Amino acid sequence: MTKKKLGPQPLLWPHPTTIVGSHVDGKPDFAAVAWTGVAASSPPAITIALQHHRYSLKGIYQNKTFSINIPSRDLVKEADYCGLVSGAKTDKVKDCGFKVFYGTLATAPLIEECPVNLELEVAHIINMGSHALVIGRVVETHVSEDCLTDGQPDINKVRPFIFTPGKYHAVGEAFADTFKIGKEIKGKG
Amino acid sequence: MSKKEFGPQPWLFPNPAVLVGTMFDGKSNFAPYAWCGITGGEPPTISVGIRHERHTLKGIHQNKTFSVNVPSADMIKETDYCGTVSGAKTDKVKECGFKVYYGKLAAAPLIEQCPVNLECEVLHMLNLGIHMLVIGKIVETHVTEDCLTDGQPDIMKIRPFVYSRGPSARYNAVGEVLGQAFVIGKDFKKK
Repeated sequence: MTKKKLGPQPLLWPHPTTIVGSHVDGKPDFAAVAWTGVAASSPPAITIALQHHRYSLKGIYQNKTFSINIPSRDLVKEADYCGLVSGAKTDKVKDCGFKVFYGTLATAPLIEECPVNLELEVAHIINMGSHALVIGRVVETHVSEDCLTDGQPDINKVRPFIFTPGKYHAVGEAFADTFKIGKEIKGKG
Repeated sequence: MSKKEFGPQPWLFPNPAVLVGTMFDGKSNFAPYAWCGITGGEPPTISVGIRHERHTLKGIHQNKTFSVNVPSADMIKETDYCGTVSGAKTDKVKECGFKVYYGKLAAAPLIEQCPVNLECEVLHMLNLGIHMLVIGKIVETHVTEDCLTDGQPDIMKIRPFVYSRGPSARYNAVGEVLGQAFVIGKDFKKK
């Protein structure tokens, strides 16, 4: 098996597609963010990486709160649009027709149409060079009732999608149960 | 549309599924992680949330290096297996039949069968409670030649998979293309 070296690349695939919400100068703004990951579970924390000039980062500095909204694949156009235009020049809420609601935090706007909404408070901001790494503590989680199975969020109903440079992909079929399929390996070596 | 509140939950959908490689006392070890993300583009950096008691974290403390290996869907059993046993008690390389190789970093073992391999040097470690957030600088990227199209990595050839929680935790494949990024939204403007 031959390998090609590409130099240092941020090549962690697949990336989720999220819409990050913040309040800038008192107005809700939403931006598409793929460079995000879970950082910890207790207390739950999530990272997002934003370039320093991003308008949504301004709102995060202003209020120390933000939201992460997981769009379903029906919202692929809206999500892409939120990554193309700046909130400094456009009212994305109006353009996309988002219904905005609020939970525990007054400055973390949530998108009703997105099946999963997380409200976060900033715990740390680290300067990583081209990007600011914002580490947020999740303070509340909202899931659309019709995306639950046995009271738990179901990825096949949430229907999130994946960002790659160039294309959005659906999440495909479930093909194995975690911490079960691997038991078939034991003693193979 | 009615919503149900669940309190604070780390529910990001979907999460990638990767194998983190480390060396501890000179022996290579691999463990699956879904709690990771890109943390910067220039320089390229990546984070992994690791519980303090993990064998993987011991190796990272020892050498300040690690690898991130992206498995293809063919390697789902091996990936899952690496999450059910500890490297302190098991030789996962032998059990899974991994071919291990090294690039620039002497203590960041790479799995040849995984289509994408990242070599990382630790930049920051942040204690976030039961997890340590390890942030690494990516110093080299290896991609299997078969997984390139026009010299660039192709997700449909890499065939990574995603992890999700829910009524039962499971792995999902990456599915069909929905649209072209930064194009599909271009002419979109609701009145």
